[in-house]
Amino acid sequence: MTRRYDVIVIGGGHNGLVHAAYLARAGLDVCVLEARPLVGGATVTEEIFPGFQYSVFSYVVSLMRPDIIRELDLPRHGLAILPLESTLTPLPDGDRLYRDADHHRTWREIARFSIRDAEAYDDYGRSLFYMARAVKYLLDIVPPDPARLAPGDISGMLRLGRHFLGLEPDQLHLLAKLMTMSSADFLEEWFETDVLKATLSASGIIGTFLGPRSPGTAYVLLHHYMGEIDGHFRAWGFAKGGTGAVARAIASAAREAGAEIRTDAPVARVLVQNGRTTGVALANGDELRAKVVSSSLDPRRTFLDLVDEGELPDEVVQGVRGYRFRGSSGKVNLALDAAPDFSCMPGHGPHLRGAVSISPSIDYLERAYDDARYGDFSREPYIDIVIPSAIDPAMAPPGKHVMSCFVQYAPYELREGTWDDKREAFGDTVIDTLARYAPNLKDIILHRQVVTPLDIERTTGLSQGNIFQGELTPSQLFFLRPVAGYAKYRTPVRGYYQCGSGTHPGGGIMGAPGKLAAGVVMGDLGRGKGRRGR
Amino acid sequence: MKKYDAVLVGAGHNALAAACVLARRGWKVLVLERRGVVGGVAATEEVFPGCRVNVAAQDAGLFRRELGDEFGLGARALEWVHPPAVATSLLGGGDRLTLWRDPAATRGEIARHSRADASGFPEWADYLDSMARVLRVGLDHPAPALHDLTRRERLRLLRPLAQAARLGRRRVVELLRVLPLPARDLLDDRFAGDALKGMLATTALPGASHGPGAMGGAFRMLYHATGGHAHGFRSSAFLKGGVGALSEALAAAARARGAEIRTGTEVERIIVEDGAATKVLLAGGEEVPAHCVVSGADPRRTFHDLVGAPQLGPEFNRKVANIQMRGTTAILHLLLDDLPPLDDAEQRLAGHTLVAPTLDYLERASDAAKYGRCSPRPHLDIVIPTLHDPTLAPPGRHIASIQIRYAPYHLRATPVRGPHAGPSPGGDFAPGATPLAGDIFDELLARTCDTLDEFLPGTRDRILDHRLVTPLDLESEFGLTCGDEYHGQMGLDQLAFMRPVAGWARHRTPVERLFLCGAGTHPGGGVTCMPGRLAAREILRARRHAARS
Amino acid sequence: MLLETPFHPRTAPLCHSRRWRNWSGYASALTYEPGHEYEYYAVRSGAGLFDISPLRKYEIAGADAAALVDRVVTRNALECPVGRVLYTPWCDEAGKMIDDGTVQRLGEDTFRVTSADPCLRWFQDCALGMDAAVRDITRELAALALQGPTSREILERVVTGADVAALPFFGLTGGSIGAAPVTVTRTGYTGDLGYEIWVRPENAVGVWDALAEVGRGYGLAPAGLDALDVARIEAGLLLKDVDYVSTWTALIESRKSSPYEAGLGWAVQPQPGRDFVGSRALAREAAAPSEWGFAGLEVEWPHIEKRFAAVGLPPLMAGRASREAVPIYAGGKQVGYVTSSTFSPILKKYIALATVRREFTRPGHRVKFELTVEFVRHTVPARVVKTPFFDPARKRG
Repeated sequence: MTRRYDVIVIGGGHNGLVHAAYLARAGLDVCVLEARPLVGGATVTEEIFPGFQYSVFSYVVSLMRPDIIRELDLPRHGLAILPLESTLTPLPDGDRLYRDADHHRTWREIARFSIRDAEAYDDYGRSLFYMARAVKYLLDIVPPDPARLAPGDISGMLRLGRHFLGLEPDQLHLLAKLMTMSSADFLEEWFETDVLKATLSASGIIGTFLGPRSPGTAYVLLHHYMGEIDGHFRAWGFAKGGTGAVARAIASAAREAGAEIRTDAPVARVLVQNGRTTGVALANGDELRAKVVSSSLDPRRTFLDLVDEGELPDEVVQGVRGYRFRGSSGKVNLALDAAPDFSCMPGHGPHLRGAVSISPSIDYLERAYDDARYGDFSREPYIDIVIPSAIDPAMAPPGKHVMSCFVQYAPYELREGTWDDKREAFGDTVIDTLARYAPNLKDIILHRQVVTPLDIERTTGLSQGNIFQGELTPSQLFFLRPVAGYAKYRTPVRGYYQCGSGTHPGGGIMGAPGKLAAGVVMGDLGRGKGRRGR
Repeated sequence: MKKYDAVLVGAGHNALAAACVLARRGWKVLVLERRGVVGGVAATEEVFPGCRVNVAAQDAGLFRRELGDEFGLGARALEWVHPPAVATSLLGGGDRLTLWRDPAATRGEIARHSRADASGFPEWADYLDSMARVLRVGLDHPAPALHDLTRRERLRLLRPLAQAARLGRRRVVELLRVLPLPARDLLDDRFAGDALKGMLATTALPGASHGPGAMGGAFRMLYHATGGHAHGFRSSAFLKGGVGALSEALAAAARARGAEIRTGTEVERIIVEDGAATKVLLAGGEEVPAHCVVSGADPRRTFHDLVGAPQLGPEFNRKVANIQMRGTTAILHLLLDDLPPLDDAEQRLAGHTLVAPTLDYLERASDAAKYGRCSPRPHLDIVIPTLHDPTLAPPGRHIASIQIRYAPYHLRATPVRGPHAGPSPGGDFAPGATPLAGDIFDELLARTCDTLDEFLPGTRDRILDHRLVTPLDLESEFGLTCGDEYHGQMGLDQLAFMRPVAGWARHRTPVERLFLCGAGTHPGGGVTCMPGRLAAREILRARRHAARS
Repeated sequence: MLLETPFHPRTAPLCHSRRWRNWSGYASALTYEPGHEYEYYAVRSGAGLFDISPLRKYEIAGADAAALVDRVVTRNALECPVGRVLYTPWCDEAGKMIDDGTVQRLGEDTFRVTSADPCLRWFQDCALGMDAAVRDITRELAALALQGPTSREILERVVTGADVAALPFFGLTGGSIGAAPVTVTRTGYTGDLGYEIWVRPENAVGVWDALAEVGRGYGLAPAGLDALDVARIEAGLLLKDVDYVSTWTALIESRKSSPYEAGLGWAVQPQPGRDFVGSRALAREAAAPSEWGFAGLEVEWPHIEKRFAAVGLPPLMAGRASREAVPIYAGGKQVGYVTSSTFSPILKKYIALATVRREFTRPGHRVKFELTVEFVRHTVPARVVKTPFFDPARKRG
């Protein structure tokens, strides 16, 4: 027996859930199908080792759109975001760069290296504020299609033109630079201190198979800067209970609105008849009928795996094949018997409540990238560490800690061997690197989970383990994400939509693709508002 | 003393082109060149006794012949040479891959490596030409002043937009997608053969310090194809008499229209009075008053050396200081007593002969530049002009000019700047940069010869004489800041309305009546003469406006 | 964590109020006694001693030092003789104010510049292509302000090797206090007779002690920022980021101010051939003035009293200076806003510094000042007057 839904959402990651929640709130009969036993996709927190909560993949929150938090009333569904306000960058010589919310202390800390840079730091912060303010507009619109030029596209392009040409000239120019420069060159316009440039440029390489000196990374830097928490750009936070709590809160909001969420329900393919979707077939053979199917999976899965290529125009197939994933990062999650002790800042200080970034110099990051370019994981990787249990004690037993280490570069495609062979060696490299800065680390590890790009792909389905469902490079942004002509969440198959991070405005725990896609679906179904972008 | 309508600083090909356009409008024009010959880096001079050598630029394929009329070049002013081979890639072990002007021959050649690549190549060649045509629309027109889109400016945008739209909106969108791509991605999507990809990727390298994996490479590939007839590689054409023939023809055309060209005359300063350029001060102390001054020098040299930073605002100076100037190319001129030993040498070596066997080879060569070192195994681009015009050298002799990448101007003396090195001295924008010198010179020469031995064995035995030109020499001899022969990197962040600096596109400067006409302005470097042409038109416009108001 | 100034060993035990505030990252006493009245009156009748070490200080030296300073500031620095001090703002290329401070000419080719916030990068970037080195000497130089009618007599008794009595308004001299070499400038932020003493940090405590010792007979009191705030408003002196917003921190155009808009038009000194940063923009503004300007206001105190009396309260506005922006109206429309205001203990008036539409900047204009009494908003009449509000002859004499 088959049941007919209004909308089936494939994938219960945060975007799929946001999408479902908005559609359910519009009164549609929605069903979310999640392959894994728990919702969240890459936004999950699991007790892999008894007593210790690992945010297995994504680990901090910043980009989550404030309007989604408000409209879905996520705080009522359990979402609490705790501040993460310092960054410690240890140096090999035992020195460090420590930046926190105390403006004057951060100033003096940078001034130890260069007074000019300390002054430039404020200027830089303001410049990125301008940029985030300018780009914020894009996060809330469906990209117009400059090649189609339907009336909606023309007015969309005109509005876009008005928005950007209305910026102050300096800001417009800075934006043009940001879209095209390397993060190292971009930062070079302000700073001379290597460690400062390095640790700032690290945001420009996250999730991207590019080094800090590669053009295009400056945009990624901005992508990590335009998150807003309580009206402040660039605020990074940590979800109480781990990032999985974000997904749980959205799922709860969706359920309350009437959406059905089925876990352990992997979808095998999307059913298409006469160029129109009729529903999905599950891996177990069941078929579910729906007027609309929305896929929150990445473009490769959405277009090439779930649908028969014959249903798609050649150019779309070519376009999706040329779409770059190139997973470049892994995770190492640790259960610790005690707090790690960083030799550059010994003891149990407030720095443990912030991020610790292993990014001592631009060359260090660039060398890490070089290794990956030739098919190896970095011998000395960039590592971004947070210790969730130092912020939220519920994450580990009293006195013990969990430590989340985001590691780059770990190329999906290795020149020699497989990730299954190299997983532990990769883990050892990360621990060895960390132990250079936190000598007690090796003695306090109770358990470690090494997550390679292959593991990310296997567990979450993200192609090549790319955390953004595709690189955030200018050729894959806005009306080009995922492919020209299909950036408005529709697909060549009628009734079949995309709502994942592989669409505008891209990855991170943002929720915007899910929400914008919901607007398009509702518009097409003649429901509610959301006729924008027709 | 007679007052000129325009004094041009430097007689590079762009300044000469500007002089031609202005002189043809009846302007009283004076061109001042520090060196003894005109042409700047597009000059052909006696480097070895009795031999005329293209000092830096080798290929004039980007020059668009249809512009000859606008510059007043006679129909027979230039004799073009189109050798049968466009490029030959040396693959080591005697293997090589040649792209011929004859598409069938090229297909056959590629098929020896990969049948699929061979059948895909014609489509690629068409794609490259068609994308280059769209890009050309942008290069032919002044860059829009996005920060100041007055009604008049908007109207000026209509023509290029309409032209681009005629080529197809989808193509325009495709161009937007493709411009930022790395050469590697663009080529990976089409070809399997590493030899072919390595070879094609070399056209993405000039104008940037990055390797084939860096974004923006596709733009440079297309840019180097905007001269038309790229044959899947790049627009390539040579001249009887060498590249310098073009500069000399331009100089002759300008003189024919009454322009004065004084060589051996160095401009020491551009004098600014009350915010406007009024005259130039020559090295000998002579002052030449002019209604406007047009600088063919690169923007940093123009603003910080010739005008002087204190004459300009600190915010503008910051922008000028931040222009990425990164010479990474050295040039080795060889005098040979015979062609390098290779079968069909006269045919195969007549285009660009490349050491670029794989993408990774290029990538590794460029890695060195990232860390401020010379490539241990450099990428070489060899041109033998005596195959185009044997009279350049005594009978039986050949000249080979080799572009060597990467030999960065900015060498790293100490590995990393220590955290406690203290603040940099006031006003120093580029700490830690040491120009190429000393034993590194010998090493670069040795590495280049080793690479030649590996890929073109036997060449070394035929060398009668050599001359190595480093980025530092390019700076001191040709006035190229940091040895950057493009007057600023050709990255997407330094193009169009961002070139030379944001807010000052359109060849104008914060100094009234001072204009720029060099490769540091839109549309950029290469022997195109386009910056000079667009600058001259902009200057004429400015004069019309001034007359009207 | 706040830093301690070199005077902290002396100021900390004196700070009975335990009221410190963050001044550029340094702990700075708001008041020493529980209230600031005594400290304020010390400034007006005896002498107040302020620790102003957190000011940013820069040394500019080299053959082009004078040319550099002249390029940076709006006042004509080339005409500043050795041994003199200038108060001046400086601007960006658009003619909007970055900061303001004093320029001390120590020698033909040596200057010392003070500013509220860090400006090293700016000064250095302005120096590109010039033979002038700019150095941040903030931590190499401690500073005290000795302000009030008896300050001259105290200094005369303490300083050796300099003729303090002969030091003119905005004059500068070197000398010694005990064994410590000091620079003395006749400058200040109170609008009274006063001096500022610049000394190396290791000699700071000794200088403090010498002044405190002699000052005992002259009504000297350590004074904090609360007293300073009242005094500087009486003197009509601007405070950065209160009375104007630096172009660097403004974030939006409308918050930026030119010197003309901030009432510092007198400090813009263009000259044929003089090209300072912002000069072209300021010349344009001089030709076509901005719609905004600066005004000093006297708010009618009886009306304030009356409004409070109506609800049975005494006027709760006496006391500390206020930095809260308050709207100004005329003809029922908002025409500006007060940026700083205070009850002046010496004038017995309520005075304010305001940004108003240009047509209201002329003294004599009548406007309305918004007053909130017991959560209800009213307006009370105010009059545009010339600043300084308080300008004793001894300041210059």
